[in-house]
Amino acid sequence: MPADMPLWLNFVVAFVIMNVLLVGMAYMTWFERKVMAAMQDRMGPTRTGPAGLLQPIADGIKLLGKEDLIPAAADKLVFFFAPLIIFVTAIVSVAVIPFGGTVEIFGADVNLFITDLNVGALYVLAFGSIGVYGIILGAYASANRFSLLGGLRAAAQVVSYEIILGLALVGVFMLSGSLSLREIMLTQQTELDLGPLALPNWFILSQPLAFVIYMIAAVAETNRAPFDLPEAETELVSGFHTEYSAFRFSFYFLGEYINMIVISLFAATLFLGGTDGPGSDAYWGLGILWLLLKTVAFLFFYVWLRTTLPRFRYDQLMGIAWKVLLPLVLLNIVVTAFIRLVGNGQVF
Amino acid sequence: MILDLQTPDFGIALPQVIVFGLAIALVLLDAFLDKAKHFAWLTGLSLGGYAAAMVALVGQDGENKSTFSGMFVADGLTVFFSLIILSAAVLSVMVAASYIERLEGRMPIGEFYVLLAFSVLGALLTTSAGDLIMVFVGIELSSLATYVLTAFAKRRLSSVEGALKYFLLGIFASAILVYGMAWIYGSSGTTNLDGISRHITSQIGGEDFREPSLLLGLLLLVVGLGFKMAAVPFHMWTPDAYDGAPTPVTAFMSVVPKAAAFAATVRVLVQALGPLRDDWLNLIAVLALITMAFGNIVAISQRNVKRMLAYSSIAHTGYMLVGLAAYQGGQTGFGTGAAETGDQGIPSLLYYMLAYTFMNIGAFAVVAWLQHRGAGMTLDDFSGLATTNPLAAAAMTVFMVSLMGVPPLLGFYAKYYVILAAIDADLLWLALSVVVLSAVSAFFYLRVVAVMYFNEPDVQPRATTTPLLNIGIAAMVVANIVLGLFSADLTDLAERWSDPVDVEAAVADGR
Amino acid sequence: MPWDVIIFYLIAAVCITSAVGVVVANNPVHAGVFLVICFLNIAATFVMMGAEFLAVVQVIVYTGAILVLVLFVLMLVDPDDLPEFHTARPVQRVVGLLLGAILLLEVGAAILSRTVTGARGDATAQNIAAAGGNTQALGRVLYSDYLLAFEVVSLVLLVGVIGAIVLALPERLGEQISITRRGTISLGHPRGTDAALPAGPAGETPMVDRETPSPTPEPTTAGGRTLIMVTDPDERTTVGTRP
Repeated sequence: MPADMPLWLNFVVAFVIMNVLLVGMAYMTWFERKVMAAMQDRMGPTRTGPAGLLQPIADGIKLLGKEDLIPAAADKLVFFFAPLIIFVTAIVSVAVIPFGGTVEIFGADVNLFITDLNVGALYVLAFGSIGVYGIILGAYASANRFSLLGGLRAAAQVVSYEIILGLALVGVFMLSGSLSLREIMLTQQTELDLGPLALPNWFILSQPLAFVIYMIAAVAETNRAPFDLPEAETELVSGFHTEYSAFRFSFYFLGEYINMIVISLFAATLFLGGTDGPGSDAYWGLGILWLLLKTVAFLFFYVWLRTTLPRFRYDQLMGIAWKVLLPLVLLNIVVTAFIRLVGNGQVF
Repeated sequence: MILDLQTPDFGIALPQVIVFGLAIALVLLDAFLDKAKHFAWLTGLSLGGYAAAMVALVGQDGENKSTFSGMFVADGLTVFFSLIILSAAVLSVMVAASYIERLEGRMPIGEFYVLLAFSVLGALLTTSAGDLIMVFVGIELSSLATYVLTAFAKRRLSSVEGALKYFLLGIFASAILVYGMAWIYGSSGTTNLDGISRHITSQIGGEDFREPSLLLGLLLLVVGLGFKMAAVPFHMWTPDAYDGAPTPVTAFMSVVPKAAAFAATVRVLVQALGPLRDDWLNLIAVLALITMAFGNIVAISQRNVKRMLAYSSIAHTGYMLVGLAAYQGGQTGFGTGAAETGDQGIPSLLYYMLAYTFMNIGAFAVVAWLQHRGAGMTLDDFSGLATTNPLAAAAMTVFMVSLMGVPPLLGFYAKYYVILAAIDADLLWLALSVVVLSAVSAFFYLRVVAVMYFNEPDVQPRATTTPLLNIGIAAMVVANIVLGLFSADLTDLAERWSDPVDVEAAVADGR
Repeated sequence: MPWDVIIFYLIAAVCITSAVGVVVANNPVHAGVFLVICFLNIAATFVMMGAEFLAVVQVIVYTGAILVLVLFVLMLVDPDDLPEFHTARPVQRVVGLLLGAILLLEVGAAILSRTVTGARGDATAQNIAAAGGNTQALGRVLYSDYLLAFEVVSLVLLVGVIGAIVLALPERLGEQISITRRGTISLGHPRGTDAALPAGPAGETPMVDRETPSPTPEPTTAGGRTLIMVTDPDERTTVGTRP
C-alpha cells in the first residue's frame, strides 16, 4: 500500500518529476537530432558544448528572443490559450506514472509517484484526448487555411486512433484486473512460471498483438512520422502551427515531445513491467534506471520511424485505423477474454 | 472475484428475441446476399419474422412474468401492444416493399427493412419495459430508426426537411423526457416502475398531497411523451414529417412510434405514477380535448391527403388520450390488480390503438397505391377514382368511413368504447366533445369519398401491378369490417392489461 | 466552510458560467469551447462524488471524442454566414427567456420545497470497497441488473451507424460507382437544382423513371463554362468547355 505522505512531500515529488520531465524533453530534441544524424551519416549538433550538449539551451534562448507574431485575423483569445492546452495536458499526464514503490529517503517514507488513481490508465488517455484541443483550436484561431486543414486532420486522426489505443489496453486491463498503473506494474513484477523457463510476467509477452497495435496507435496519437499528417510540411506548410512563432510555438514543441515521453513511459509501465529489472527489488534507484532505459528505447523507436518511413496518405491512415487495427484489436479482446474464462474454469 | 451472473429467462421474451434475430439476419443477408435476390428474400424474411413473433406472443399471453432483473416484463399490456406493433409491422412491409423498390429513385431495400426491424424492436421493448431506463432506451431505439426512415427519400428535399424537424424536436423531447425521469428517480431512489409506485405510495401523506418535485417530474414526462405521441401543443413536427416521409414510412410512423409512446405513457403514468393519478388525470383530459379539437379543425383546410391524414392522426391521438383520461384504477397502479376496480379507460385506449392501426395504415396504403400509378397525393389526384378503379375507391371509402367512426366498421367500436369509458369516469364533457368532433371530422373524411365518386377523372392511371400492396389493402379492409364483430374477444384481451406480474417469478429472478 | 464545499461551489460556478456562455456566444466555435469547459467541470463534480470512472469516461467520450467532432464541423462554418439567432425575432427571444425563467423557478421551487426523499440504494462506501473499487462496482451493476438496457443501448448505436451510412452514401448503395464518375461532378442532386426538377403534383414527386430517358437538358453557362444540368440525379454532368 502507498504510504501516507505529508502534502508538502508530495509536492516535492511532483516538482522533481516535472522538472526532470522538462529537462528530459529538452534533451530529447538533442537525442533525436543526434540519432537522426547518425542514421543519415551526418554529425548533428557539434558546436554548442561538448557533442552539442548545450544545443537545447541555445534553442530555447533563440525561441524566446524571436518576435511573437499574431495574425491580424486571428481569434486572439483562443490563439493565446491553444498552445497552453497541449502543454498542460501533456505534463499533467505524468502524475499517475509510478517510478517505483514506497521508499525511505532521509528517514521519511516517500512514494515514488505523484498519485495512484484507481483509473490511472484511463486518466492518461483522457488527458491525451483533451490535448487534441490544443491542436484544433490553435489551427482554427490562426485563420489560415493550411492550419485549419491540419487541425481537421488532427481531429479526425486523434479521434480514430484514440479508440484503437484504448481498446488495445483492454487486454492488459483484463489480465491485471485493475486500471491503476501501480497495480498493473505490480502484476507484471511476478514471475510467469512456464515449467523450466521462468519469464517475467510482462504483458508484452502475453499481449504481443496489443503491444504492436498500441505502438502504432501511440505514434499516430502523438502526430509523429509516419502519421504526422496534421503538420505535413510538403502539403500544409507546417500544418496547425504555421502561424505560431517564438514562445507560443515552443509550447507546441514542448507539448509534442512531452507527449512522446509520457506515452513511452506509459508503454514501459503497461507492457514492459515498469521498473522491473535485475536488481530493481533491492535498489529503487536501479528500478528508476530500468524504467528510463525502457523509455529511451521507445523514444529511439520513434526517431527510428521518423528517419525510415515516408508519410502515409490520408485515406491510408484512416483505412489502417478502421479496417485493419480495429478488427484486430477487437479480436485480441475476444481471445483474451476467452482465455481468461478458461483460466478461471468458467468454460469447459 | 468472479461475477456471478444470472441467465435471464429468454423464453418469456421470445417475440422480442425473434424480432432481434430478424434484424440481425437482415443486416447479414443484406451484406452477403446476391443483389438480385434482395427483394424477394428480404421481404419474405421480414414478413415471416414478424409473423413468427406474433405466433410467439401466444406463449407470452397470461404468463405475467418478469426477467432481466425486472427490466423486462411480459404482462397483458406487453402482449396487447406487441400485437398492435407486429400487425403494423407486417402491414408496413406489405405497403413498403414495391414502393421502396420502384419509386423515389429506388431506395436501398435492405437497409429499409433493417431499420424497420430495429424500430419495431424498440417499440416492443418499450411496451415490455419494467424500468424507466428501458422505457427511455426502447423509445430511443424506435425513434432513431424512424428518423432515418423519414429521410429515406433523401433525394427529395421535403423528405430531408421533415426528417430534420422530426429529429431535432424528437431529441429535444427525449431530453425533456429523461430530465423528468431524473426527477422521478431523485424522489424515489429507484428506476423500477413498481418500485417507484410503492415508494410514492409509502410517502403519500394526507388528502391533498402535492409534492413539487414529483409534479415537476410528472410534467416533464407528460411533455416528453406528448412530443412522441404527437399531442397538441407538441405536434409541430407531425405534418412536415408525415408529409415528407415516403408514404409507407408515414404509414409505419403514424402507428408504431405512437404505439410505443402510448405504451410508455401507460407504463410511466399508470404503473409508476399511479399514486399521483389525481394530478395527471385532469392534465391528460385537457390535453385530449385540445388535441382532438386542433387535429380535426386544421385537417379541414388541408388539400394534401397525406397532410390531412397527419392532422387526422393527431386527432386520433386525442381520442386515445380520452381513454387514458378515463383511467380509474387503484391508487397503487399495477400491484393490486387494477382490473378489479372495473377500469374501462386503458382497455378502450388499447382497443382504439388496434383499430387505428388498421384504419390509418390502410388509408396511407391507398395513397401509396395511387403513387404507384403515377398520381400525387392531393385531393385532385383522387378525383374519379371510382370510375378508373372502383375497388381502390371502395377500399379508401372503407378506411375513411372507419376513421370517421361509422357503425358497422372497426372505427365505430373503438370510439364507442372510448366514449363509454369517458362516461363511466364521469367525464361527460369529454365524451360529448368526442362525438361533436367526430361529426366535424366527417367533413374532411367524406370529402375524399365525394371527390372519388362524384368528380371526373383527370388522367388515366398508369398500369402497373403491386400484388403485395393489394393483398395488404384487402386484408385491412377485411379487418376493418370483421374485427368490429369480434370486439368482445379483443376487449377481453385488452382488459387483462393490468394482471399483476407474478411476484414469485420476479423474486426467483433475483429482483 | 470545508475545503471540498468551496471547491464544489467553484466548479459549479465555472460550470454554470460556461453553460451560459454556450448559449450567448456569438461565434459557434467559442460556444463549442465553452461546452468543453462545462463538460470538464461536470467530470470534476463526478470526481468529487467519488465516481472517478464516470469522470474519466465523461472526459474521454464527451470532451475527447464527441466535442472534437462537433468542433470539427463548426470550424467549417463561416460565422458570418449563420442565421442571426440573437438579433432577429425578438418575440421568440423574449418568450424563450420567459419560458426558461419559469422552468428555472419551477426547478428551484421543487428543490427547495421537496419533502419526498428517495430510498437509499445499496451503493454504500463499504459495498463499493467490497466490490474492489468504483470501476468494479459499476461493472458489476452494468452487467447484472442493467444488462438488458446495456445491450439495447448498443443496438441504438448500431442503428445510428446504419442510419449514418444510409443517409451519407451519395449513391444507391454499391451501384453505379464506376469509372465514369471520376472527374465529373453530379449537379443533379436536388439540393442544388430543386427548381430544375420536373414540376409534379405538390408535395411528393415520384422520381423520374429510370427506364424512360430524360429529355435532353438545356445547356447553361456559368462563369464562362458550359454546364449541363440533368434532371435525373442518377445521370452525371461533365463540367468543362464544350465546342
